[in-house]
Amino acid sequence: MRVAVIGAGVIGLSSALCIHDRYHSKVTPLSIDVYTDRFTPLTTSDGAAGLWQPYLHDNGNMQETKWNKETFDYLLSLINSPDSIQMGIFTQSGYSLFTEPMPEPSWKDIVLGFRHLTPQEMKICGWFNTTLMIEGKSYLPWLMDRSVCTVSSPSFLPSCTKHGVDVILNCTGVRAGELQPDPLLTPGQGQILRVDAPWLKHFITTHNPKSGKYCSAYIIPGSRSVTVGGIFQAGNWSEANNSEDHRQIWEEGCRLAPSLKNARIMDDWTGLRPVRSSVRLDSETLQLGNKQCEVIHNYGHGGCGLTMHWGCALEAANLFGKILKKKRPSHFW
Amino acid sequence: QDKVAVVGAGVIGLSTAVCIAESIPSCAVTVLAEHFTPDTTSDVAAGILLPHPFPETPLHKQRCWFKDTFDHLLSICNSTDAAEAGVFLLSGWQVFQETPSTKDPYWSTVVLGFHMMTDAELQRFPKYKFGQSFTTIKCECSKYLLWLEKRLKNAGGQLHTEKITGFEQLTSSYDIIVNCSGLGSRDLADDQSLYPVRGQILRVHAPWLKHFIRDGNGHTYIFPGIHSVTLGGTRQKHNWEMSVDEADSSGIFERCCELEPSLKKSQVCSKLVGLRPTRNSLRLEREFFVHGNRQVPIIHNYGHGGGGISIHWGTALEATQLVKESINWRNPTSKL
Repeated sequence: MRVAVIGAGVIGLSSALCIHDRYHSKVTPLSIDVYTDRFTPLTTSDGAAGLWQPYLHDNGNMQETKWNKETFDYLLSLINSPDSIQMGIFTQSGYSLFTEPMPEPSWKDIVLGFRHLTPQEMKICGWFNTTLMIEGKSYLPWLMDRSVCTVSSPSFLPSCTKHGVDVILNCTGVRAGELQPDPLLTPGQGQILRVDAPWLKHFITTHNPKSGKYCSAYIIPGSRSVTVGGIFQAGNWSEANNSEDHRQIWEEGCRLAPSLKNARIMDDWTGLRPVRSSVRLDSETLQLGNKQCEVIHNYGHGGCGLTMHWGCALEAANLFGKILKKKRPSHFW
Repeated sequence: QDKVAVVGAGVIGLSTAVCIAESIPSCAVTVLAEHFTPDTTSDVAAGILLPHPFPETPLHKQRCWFKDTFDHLLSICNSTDAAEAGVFLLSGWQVFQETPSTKDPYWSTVVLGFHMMTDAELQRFPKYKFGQSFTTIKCECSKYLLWLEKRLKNAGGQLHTEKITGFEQLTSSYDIIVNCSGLGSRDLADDQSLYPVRGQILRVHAPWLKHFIRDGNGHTYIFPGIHSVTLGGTRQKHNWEMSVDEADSSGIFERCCELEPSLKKSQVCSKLVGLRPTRNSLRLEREFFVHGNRQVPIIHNYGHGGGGISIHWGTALEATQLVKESINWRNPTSKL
C-alpha cells in the first residue's frame, strides 16, 4: 500500500509515524512518502514556541479537548525517557493572566498543579500551572529520523495518483486551500521576537477577551531563547517581519516582565497559524482522473498544532484503519 | 562622619554595608576583606531562598529575616534591575521519601503559591511519598555581589582588599566595626562554636530545566540558574577540605539523575566547594572591644550556615539598626 503525506510540519510527520507504527506489520509492503516544499527548520511548527496550552474556551468541542489530552498524556509519558531532550520535551510552569475572572478551562485537570493565583502573586486574576514544552526545532528532526518515509520536493495530487498512491494524508496546514478550496481556513498571522533572557523560567500568557486569541502579550522561555509575542492578524498572508509589530511586541513584553528591558533581541520571525473554526480531521474518496483515491484531511489546527498533534495523529491512524477495512473487509486488522 | 568598617565581602558583608551606607548618611562605610566575588563562599551557593534552620534562634526572628529578604528580592525580580542583580523567580518541588512532621513550615506563607503536590505531580518522583510545590527566588551571587558593590559605591562606600586578623587593626581608624567574616570569625572573634559544613556542587549545562527539585533531606538538589544548573550536594560537618572530591561528584550526579533523568544528557561545566559557616544560633549582637584607651562597638553578623542568602537582607537591616543605636550611644543629644 502506498501512502503519500503532503506537509512536513508536526501534523504531517507525526501522522506518518503513527500510521507506520500501527500498521507496518499488518500491511506489507507499506510505503509512506512525505511530499513538501518546506521542512524543518522552516515550517510553521519550527517557529512556534512550543507551549502546550489549548485555547481558554473549547467551544464545546469535546473531540479537540480529547486530542489535547491525548497529546499531553503522551508527551508526559516520555518526560523521563532517554529521548526526551532530543525530542525537545520538558516541563515548564507559568502564568495565565486575565483582566477579569474567567471560567476554569477544560484542560485544568490535564496539566499539573493547576491553581488560581494568590493575592501575593499578581494584582490581577489568573492561573498557575505546570505544563509541557514541545519544541518543533528538536521534535521535527527527531520525527524525521524516526520516519521511515522519504521526504521529497512538492508533488501534486494528479502526479501522486499516476504512481498508484492509495491514500493521501493532507497535512498542508495554512495552504490546504491550494489543494482543495476551504473557506473556513484562514491564516492567523503572528510575529514573534526571540530574546536572550535565560533568567526567565516561567511562561506568562495574557488574555484579553476583547482583543481575541493571541492578540495579547505572551512570554515563553524555551531551551535556547525566550519567545515574546502577541500578534494575531486574521487573513494576513504576509510572512515578512514588520517594525510596527516588533515595537508593539517589545513594549508590551517589557511591561509584562520589566527585566526584559535589558535583554538582547536575537531575531524576529513571522508565521501563519492555520486557523479554522474547527480542525478538519476526516476522510473522503476523491475521483482523480480515472482513479479513486482515499484522502485523509488533517489540517486547520490554528495556534494549537503542537498542543493537539498526537491526538490528531491517533485519529488519522484510526481513519486509515477504516480505509483498510473498506479495501479488504475480510482481512483481520 | 562616623567611620564604619565592615569586615567580609560575601553576601552578608556587602548587604550590611549597603544597608548602612544607604540608610545612615552620616556613615562612611568601608568594606575590608581578603576575598571578593567570585572567590567568596556566597559565590558557590546556589542562592535559592529557602530557610536553613537555626536550632537556638527563636522561630519568629527566623521568619522575620526570611520575609524581609524575600520581599526585598521580590521587588528586584519585578524591576528592570533583575537581570543585572541576578535575581529571578523559580518554581519547583521539594519532595520527601517519608512524610515530614511539619507539612506546613513557617516559611510556607512567605514563598508564593505554596501547596501540597497533587498525586499527578508526585507521579514523576516514584520514590517519594509527599511533596511541596511553590515559587521562590534565586539570587545568584556571582551577579548579586557585583551589583551590591556598585550600589555601595553609589552610596559613597569603599572596598579594600585586606585580611583582618584582629579587631585591633581597625580600632584606631574606625568608630564602629561590623563583623561579617563568616567562618573567619572562628579566629577573628575567637568563636569556637562556629564550624564548617562542607558543601560540594556541580554546575552543569541543562538549559531545558526550568524548575528546582530538592529532596527534603537536603542532600540532593537541582537548582537551575541563569547560565547553568547547580547540582548538589554534601553536608559534611567539621570538614575543612576545599578541594573537589571525585567520589562526592559522582554521588551528587547519580542522585540528581535519579531525581531528574534528563540530566544524564547534561555536560558538567565546573565543580566547586564551599564551607557553610555554621552555628547553633546566628550571632547578631553588639559587643564592645577595648584596645588601649579606645572602646569600639563591634556588631557581629555571622554564623548564617547554609541560609545566608535566604536571610541576608533581614540580618543586614537588624545589624544596621544596631549600628544606629551605637551612633546614638556615642553621640547622645546634649542635655546642656
